[in-house]
Amino acid sequence: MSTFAMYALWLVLPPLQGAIAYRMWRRKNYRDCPIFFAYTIEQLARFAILFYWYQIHDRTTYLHAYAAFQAIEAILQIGIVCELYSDVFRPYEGIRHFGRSFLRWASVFFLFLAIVVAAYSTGADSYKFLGNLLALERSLEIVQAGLLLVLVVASSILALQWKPRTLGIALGFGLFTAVNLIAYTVRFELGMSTQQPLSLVCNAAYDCAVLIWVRAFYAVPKVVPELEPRPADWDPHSWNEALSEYLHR
Amino acid sequence: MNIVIIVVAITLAGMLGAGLYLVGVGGFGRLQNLNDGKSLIEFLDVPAFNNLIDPREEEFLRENLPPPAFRTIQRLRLRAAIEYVMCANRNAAVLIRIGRSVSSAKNPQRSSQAQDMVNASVQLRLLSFFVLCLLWVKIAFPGLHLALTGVSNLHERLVRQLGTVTRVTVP
Repeated sequence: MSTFAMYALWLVLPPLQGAIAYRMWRRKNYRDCPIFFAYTIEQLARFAILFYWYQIHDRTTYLHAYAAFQAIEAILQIGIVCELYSDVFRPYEGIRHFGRSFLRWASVFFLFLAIVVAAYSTGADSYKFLGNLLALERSLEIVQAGLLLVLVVASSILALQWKPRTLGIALGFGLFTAVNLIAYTVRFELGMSTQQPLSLVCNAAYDCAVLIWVRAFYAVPKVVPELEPRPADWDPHSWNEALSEYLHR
Repeated sequence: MNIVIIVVAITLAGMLGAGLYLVGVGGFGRLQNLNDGKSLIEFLDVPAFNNLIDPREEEFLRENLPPPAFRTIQRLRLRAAIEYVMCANRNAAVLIRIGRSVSSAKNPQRSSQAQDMVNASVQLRLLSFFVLCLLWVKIAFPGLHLALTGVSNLHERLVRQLGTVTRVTVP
């Protein structure tokens, strides 16, 4: 049953991600989010190669290919977070530089945290390569989760509005990052016995994330009725007058 | 150490999930009806606010009141100042929403004015956040001298920003 579920969760990904890539290509969305587009393509290539090695039961080659793809994916995922920062802060000219500063300082902090976590971790895996790989993946999830959290907090403090597509990408990304972070932590501490159920949970979370991305790219944008400003109602003039009066006292 | 790591990881994941959920459902700074402006923009008594965090006023109180009474009164004044800053903060959020909505207008001049208003409002939100942090520090340590100029300078900038926001009129 679990093997069937695992295959089902795995095999459903290429059509969904293919659909995202197609949509991005057709609508030229790759210009707005080039790293997310590259990530989607990388995921398709990853599926094709890893699935092949998995099917021919070459465990060592599969593991090395998996590690190589994880390295590429880590770079792309950090790139997507940068893209999200850029997307959220771009419309606000006055604080654009704050976005870059937030990103820079948050990166330094969470990278430091990830290094400390990796250095002090003692995993339950007897196979050292796998243990190191899991520690590295958990560190990366910490950096990603931290950067996304800082973005969410900063945008809420500044009352920034997210574009629906950016929000969709962030929601999907945040979902699987949060689930992966917990799963890697549990897996790292408890060892191989938890591998199967946690793998299923991670795959299910990733499938949900991809579904959120599909929705983000295929949803028909809502037509927001243009606000008719009614100065008489909310009256900024009275603010201005009160302030001018005070300043001229 | 491992238990600390587990707690850090789960807390981080939980906070991220909760944060994204709130952003997704619009929980942060959710506004009801933008067109119902009267209920959204709150009146901000700038002279009263300025008086509350005026360093000279504070010095006067410090010199003329016994220290425990000064601390009590100063805390009350700072709490009132926090209410004012939060009011400005909420108003800025409303202006951002209004400005973003108007930004999509076809009229370029109006769109540009709205964009100016959005920029100024976002800066006001940022400044309000710093002022709030300073005010909370002052409440914890009402006898502190050093924070006075910081609050005062930030307040000056905040008022200037507020002026910018209110000068930009929506046609």
